[in-house]
Amino acid sequence: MDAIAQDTGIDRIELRRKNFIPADAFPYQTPVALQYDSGDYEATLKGALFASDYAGFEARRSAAAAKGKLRGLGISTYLEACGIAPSAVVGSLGARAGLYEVANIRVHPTGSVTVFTGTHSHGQGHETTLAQLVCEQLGVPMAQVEIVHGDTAKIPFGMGTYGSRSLAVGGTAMVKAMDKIIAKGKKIAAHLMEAAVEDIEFKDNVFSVAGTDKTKTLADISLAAYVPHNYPIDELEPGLDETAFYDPKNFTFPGGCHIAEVEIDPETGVVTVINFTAVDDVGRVINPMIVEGQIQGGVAQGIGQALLEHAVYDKSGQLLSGSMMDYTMPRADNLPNISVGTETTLCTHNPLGVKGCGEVGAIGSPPAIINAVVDALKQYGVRHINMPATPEKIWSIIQAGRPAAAAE
Amino acid sequence: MGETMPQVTLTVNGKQHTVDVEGRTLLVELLREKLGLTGTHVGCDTSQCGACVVHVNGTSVKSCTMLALQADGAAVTTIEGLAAADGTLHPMQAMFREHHALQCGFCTPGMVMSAIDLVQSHPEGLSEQEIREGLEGNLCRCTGYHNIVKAIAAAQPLMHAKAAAE
Repeated sequence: MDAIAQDTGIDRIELRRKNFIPADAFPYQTPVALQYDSGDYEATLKGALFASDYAGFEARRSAAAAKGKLRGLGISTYLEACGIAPSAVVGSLGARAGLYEVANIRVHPTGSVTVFTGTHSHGQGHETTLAQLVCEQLGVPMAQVEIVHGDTAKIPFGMGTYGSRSLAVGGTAMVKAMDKIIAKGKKIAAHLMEAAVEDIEFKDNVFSVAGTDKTKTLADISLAAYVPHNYPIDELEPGLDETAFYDPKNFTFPGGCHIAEVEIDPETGVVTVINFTAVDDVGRVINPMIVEGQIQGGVAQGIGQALLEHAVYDKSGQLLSGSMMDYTMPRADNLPNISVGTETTLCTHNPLGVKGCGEVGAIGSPPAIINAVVDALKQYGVRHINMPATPEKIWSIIQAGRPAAAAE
Repeated sequence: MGETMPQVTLTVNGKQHTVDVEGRTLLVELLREKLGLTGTHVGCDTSQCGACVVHVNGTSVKSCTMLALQADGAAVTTIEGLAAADGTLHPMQAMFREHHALQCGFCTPGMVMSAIDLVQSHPEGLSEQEIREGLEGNLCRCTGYHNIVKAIAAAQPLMHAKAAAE
């Protein structure tokens, strides 16, 4: 995009704007099968330009130049297809698995809940976020919700965690299983309170008969389901334990804008990331702290990819970067503070309105960093640099572009 | 009759242990395999990642790169030894929790032990940049370090106030 901007003379921000799908054009049918359900790319661009103080950049560039440093700013606006995926679509693309997800919700006789999910948490905080869903839909306190994942001897046959799908697909399976819990609970409540099922309402953990003060808690209903002495046993099975499988109707499409500001020391070629701003639309945010953590971690991975990390092999296939040190995984002092913001448009085809946040950080950040490095080096005529933009590569570019040193 | 195995006597989290070890046994192996203290992790086994950091006589040490015999007579503190007997977390642990400074948790024990030594050895206080430089020896793949740095900055005044009160 920046190369096109340079060639056409169109401002790089305006060029991106010209190519945005406007917020009122959704749902947007692309020419290549996919239909984007929602988004507001102008909102994330605007948010990132503001948060990164884009307007003040040229002054910062001049201040850096006065200290002999090359400062650059890079922008990336991106769109990702995740929440994978409709099984039929991926099947047509050659996938040999279904990409549904499954949840089993077990309400215990005490009213506490165990969730068996087919997705897996290895640090993404599902134990918290998925428990929040139960808290929200069934009104069960967080402390009474247990999330079980990963043990194939216990969980139903699920598909796991990847493609930022756990909440969009796995969370939706939970919602559907909890809908079944509520529907069955209403039938039990109608029997116990001698009312018509249509008159039973469920809210904040309580079943009530509309227009009366008759109520039963979820725990009352669950106890009646497991001790079915007074129970519509001819119509209903005992127990309050439901499973739902959910095959998504579409991918989800998180998007956003990442802005990186870097400074290069022309003597060494070392790039310092001064600021990094990410403003993403991940749909509805269930837990802001976890979303921020996911995006910060993703951005760090993207910065590592853009500047440091590289699996290098020699001609005989021997891995040369076989240790953390040689591979140069980013350390704390290689990274800046990562400013994260969100702008929300809801996903329209899942009940939670969520799009996924696990990968967006790593998707938006590498191009933002590389564009910033190229921007910093523009006086040397650089239009592109391959990742990772190591000090050696940058130093060589600067050396090649310099007027020959004065003779000794 | 084979040679008798050397013995090492050390205090771990306030409790004295005398253990038979092979000469080649690393401190981390003693802690994890002989004493069952698996809170200390082994990441790279080559002192690059810092997952195995413990305190030996109050100073942070990568326990994958120290022989158990070198700890003879020493007082070792591991992550299991930080919280009070009633379960009250060490201020550094409390701030890691407060600031969401861990995701998968693999680096966390070493990160916390390094951070405590870093703060203790800088009573004058540390800037954000100094905290980042002080964490050079500890790798984290999940958090981007952002919240770890925040947690350490928040733990500094709490730790210094606690030390002053004691």
